[in-house]
Amino acid sequence: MRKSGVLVLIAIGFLFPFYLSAGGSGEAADETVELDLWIPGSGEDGEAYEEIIESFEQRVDNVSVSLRVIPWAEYFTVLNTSFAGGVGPDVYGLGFGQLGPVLADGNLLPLNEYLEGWDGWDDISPAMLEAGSSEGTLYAILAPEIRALAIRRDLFEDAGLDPEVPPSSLDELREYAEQLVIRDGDRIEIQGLDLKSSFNSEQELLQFMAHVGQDRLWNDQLEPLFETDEAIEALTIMQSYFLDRLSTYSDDLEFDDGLAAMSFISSNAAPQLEASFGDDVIWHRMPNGRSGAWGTFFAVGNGTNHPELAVELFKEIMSPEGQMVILEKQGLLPTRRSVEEEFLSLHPRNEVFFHGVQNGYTLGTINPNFFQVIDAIRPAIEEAAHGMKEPEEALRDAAENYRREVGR
Amino acid sequence: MKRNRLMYDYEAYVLILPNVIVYAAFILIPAIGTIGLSFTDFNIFQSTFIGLRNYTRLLEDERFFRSLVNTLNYTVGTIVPSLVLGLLIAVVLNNPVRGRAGFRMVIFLPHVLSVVAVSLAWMYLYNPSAGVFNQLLRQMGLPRFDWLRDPNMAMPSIIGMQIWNGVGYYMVVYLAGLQTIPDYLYEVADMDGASKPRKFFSITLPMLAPTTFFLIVTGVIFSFQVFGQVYIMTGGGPLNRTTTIVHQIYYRGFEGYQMGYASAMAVFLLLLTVTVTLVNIRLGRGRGATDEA
Repeated sequence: MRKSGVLVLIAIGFLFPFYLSAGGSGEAADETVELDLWIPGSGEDGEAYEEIIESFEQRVDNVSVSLRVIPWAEYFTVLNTSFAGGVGPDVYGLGFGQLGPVLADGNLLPLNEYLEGWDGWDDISPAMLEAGSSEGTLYAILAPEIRALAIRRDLFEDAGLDPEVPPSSLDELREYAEQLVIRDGDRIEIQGLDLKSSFNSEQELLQFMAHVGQDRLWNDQLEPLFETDEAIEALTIMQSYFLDRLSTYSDDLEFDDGLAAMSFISSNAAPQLEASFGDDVIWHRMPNGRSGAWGTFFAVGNGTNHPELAVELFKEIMSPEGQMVILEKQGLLPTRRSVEEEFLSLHPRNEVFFHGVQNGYTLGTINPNFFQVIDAIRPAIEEAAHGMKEPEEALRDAAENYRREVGR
Repeated sequence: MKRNRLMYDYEAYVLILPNVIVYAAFILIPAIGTIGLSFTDFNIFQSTFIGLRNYTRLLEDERFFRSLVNTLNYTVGTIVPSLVLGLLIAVVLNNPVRGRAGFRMVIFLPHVLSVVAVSLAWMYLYNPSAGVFNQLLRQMGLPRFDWLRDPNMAMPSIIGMQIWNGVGYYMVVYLAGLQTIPDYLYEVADMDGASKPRKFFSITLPMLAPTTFFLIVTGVIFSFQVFGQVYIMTGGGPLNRTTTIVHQIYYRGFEGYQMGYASAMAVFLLLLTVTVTLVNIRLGRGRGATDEA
């Protein structure tokens, strides 16, 4: 019996950690309201928000903000798990692919009512407001990075081109690429234009589509717009870069590695590129002057226990001062016209970026079927890029796949 | 006597209880839950019973069929060369070769490295511009390859890496198997004047049948679960030429949040693995490979 008792105690001891982890923590009674702010990114990205939080806590009494920075790869899983468990954050960041599903599951607070009289309505770029809206209701605001045309000065000069005179049309873009590409036999050593054929290729396609007159992948009724004549024309142009060996099939950032002469590249790559290439990197507006905008949305959770305070924190992030802090520490661009002078004074290239934000476009209004869009269109682009399908067939198949998946 | 026997059993059950609880909580119950989820459209937030729709969807999913073919290609492509190379290396290193302990260590070392580290390292080796392989080919005046970007080269490139990564394990298991072959068989063969190849094919190979059978069964099970290499090196592309069943499960479940459909894929994989394993066992019994197992 004594021996059995000892063994039972040993077995219970193995299970002890589970008891500890299952224990709940009680909350002490406190007048201070606690808000949770979750941000996708790396540890350094939190610095911007710590500064914003400090300013917010000084401005608003009896509120304490807890910041959590979660790596992108885990972010959506952690976020969804928290929502499923009823313990989601009060204010949080979201990517394009996450916004629609989170809205569809009722986890975004409608903001129109809470933002009545807010100065942001008139100050923030309409495209950035639209990107976070659905059926006229604002749910999130985009803190963007935009695509601009980055070129290599040295490669332009070697090809006999003036680096201060960028291509002003798709035809010129093509001509420049043909002059800039460097090949060694059959192999492309330096791409004329760095394009993606698979991962994030829909962003490239949208750039070409915007040049031929369509800057949406879906309409307001969430029906696909990637089988239109404009989309087919855009993919045909994009396909020609691959088949005529002006671009490789790499999805790596080859412009960053010095393996491409031009690229539609994200604005937040600017510091790194300038560190690598110095003055040899020049930023220009897109040939048609319009840039695709991506980035991180900010939203308020619909399950927050303190919606007014959470919206105040949201407004702090979206304030002119907040946006400039985020720009400085995280590289996401300000969307307010009121900070134009300050923003432009920081660096000459910011003229390109500011113009891109104010004249930019996004994918359209919030689409809960964003994954189905990507799932349908990326294979289509890849098949066309490899010459396996004609662009029209590829995009019509993509639209059909999208409708079938959405209809399930 | 009966009371003592019960007390003895009671102690044993108590000792294995923590392991059983952990196994049930993290493996058994989730597996049963996955089967249940496969009949729903679960997306983390809501779940509706949809019967067999996920399974009928599998039948229409071209990409899933592609992943099945890729998985089978990967399995055959890694196991057969690994068996052959592992056996040959084991036979050589079973002899009193100078420095054989060091050789054994070097060949086995890749197997203990993490899949992530190996995949990242080989991505750089395969880099078309700066990678070592293409640099060597360039130096030799030979054509270079788009190893991971060429739809026809991507899966062979991953298989090549996996053979390098796994052959050490096969070698070690075969070395253990070689120790079980009685020396007198070779002595008798020597007395009969048998050549080395004859001894290899008539003694070594047949006596290693149980070992080979074990390696095939376990190799198939592990190969069916390939994911990390594909996820890191190619993301399933180009043109879905490297996507595998587990990669599709991840893609549907954790990128598309179609957990119900991903669960159906997982159940399919489970049934496939069990079926193939049972077939292997039956074939092995027929050839006497399981006699000593």
